[in-house]
Amino acid sequence: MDSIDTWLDPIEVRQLADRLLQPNFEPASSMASDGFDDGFIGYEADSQLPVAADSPAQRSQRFCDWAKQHHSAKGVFILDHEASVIFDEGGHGQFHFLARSLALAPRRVNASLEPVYLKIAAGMILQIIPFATAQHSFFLGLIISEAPDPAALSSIREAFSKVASISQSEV
Amino acid sequence: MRNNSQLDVISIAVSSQKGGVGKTTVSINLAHSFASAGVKTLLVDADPQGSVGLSLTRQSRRLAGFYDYLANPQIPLEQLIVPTRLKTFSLVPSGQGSDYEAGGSGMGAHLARIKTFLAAVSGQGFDLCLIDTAAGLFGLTGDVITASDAIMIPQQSEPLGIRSVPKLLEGLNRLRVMNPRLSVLGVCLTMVQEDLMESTGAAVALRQLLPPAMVFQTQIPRDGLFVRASARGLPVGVLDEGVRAQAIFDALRAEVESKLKPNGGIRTA
Repeated sequence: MDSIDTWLDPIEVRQLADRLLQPNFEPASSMASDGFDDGFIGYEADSQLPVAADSPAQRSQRFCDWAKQHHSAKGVFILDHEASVIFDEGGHGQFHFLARSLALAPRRVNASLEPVYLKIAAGMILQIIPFATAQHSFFLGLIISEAPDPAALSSIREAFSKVASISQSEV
Repeated sequence: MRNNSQLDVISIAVSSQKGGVGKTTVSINLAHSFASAGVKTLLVDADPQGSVGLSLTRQSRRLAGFYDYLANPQIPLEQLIVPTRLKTFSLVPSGQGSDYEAGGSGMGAHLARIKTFLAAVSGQGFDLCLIDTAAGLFGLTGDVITASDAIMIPQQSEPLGIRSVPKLLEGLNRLRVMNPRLSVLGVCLTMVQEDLMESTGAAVALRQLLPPAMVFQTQIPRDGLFVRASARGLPVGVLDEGVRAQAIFDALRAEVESKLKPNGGIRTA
């Protein structure tokens, strides 16, 4: 008994098990806990990017449109740290678990999360860009034809940070 | 409503984080128990090692099967179904899965095809589809679980197996994000050795660790009879000396049925 218990955190295990026993487990609703705070002041330079008056859904959609136009993204989704869907305009459900797992796979204690990508079809990759703030973390998934170079990655991060009201210094 | 996918068949993935825990033994004998009780049952071998096929059919490596269905949209399910002497019990072997043995595919790659497979199984009039998966909760196995109505988890009753439980639960919680209606039937302790303190201790520890509803009351003992049955290509209940073992799987079946009842239960033929 002791030899087993020392390896396990019984409270954590029980919490995980209890969650599994909930009938019809539902992830967070599509816009719950989305990380958009009231301090968001919009982005004036590019009319396509979200503005303060937008709802979270509108902001996400505008970011999606921006990513499609500026980076030829064929699909965009945004997950929270538990892989609950914040936004998915194209039904990319099959990639959600993969995105989160890939993003977290190389993580070491206190290591920052880095963008990763995976070839998912001929001429198509899934680019996963993790974002984190003190309160929230996100996984941004982009279906694009080729991995973005550092400048493009920076541009995407910048645009998304406006969407999620994350300052670049926090990312 | 009888299941999550609105199909007439209920699909149960038999999966585990760790290999060699008795998934195939549980799958074969539980499927046989259901079939013996009149439930039209299809046992699907989704493990590229093909253990179900190797256990129940001598020519399984020559038969087309589940992996061929995934790879070739032209193959109809009817061509894959292998009948048994029990009218209500059929199986789909793993098939020629060599392409998958090297590590398989990413998560989600086969989800749509597996859903099509289950729809075809429903169309064939099966009441229950038990799917014996490869070890792990990722890749194709993750897709099978994501497409299924329920999952049961055989767990070897030994300390190392119990230590993998947190990882198992984490993995299942992630899969439930993708399949929120997945019913987790629970962990079934296998290879229990009453004469080995470490084995019985591990069983007790698991029952203390998890909520009672998460652990099947029925335990599968380590028994040479299962090896003998497999050597003869039969479910253990078919053997003359298999009455006691059959009773264990009948008890496990009753537990599965009671756990599925809130979802409408399993139709019987």
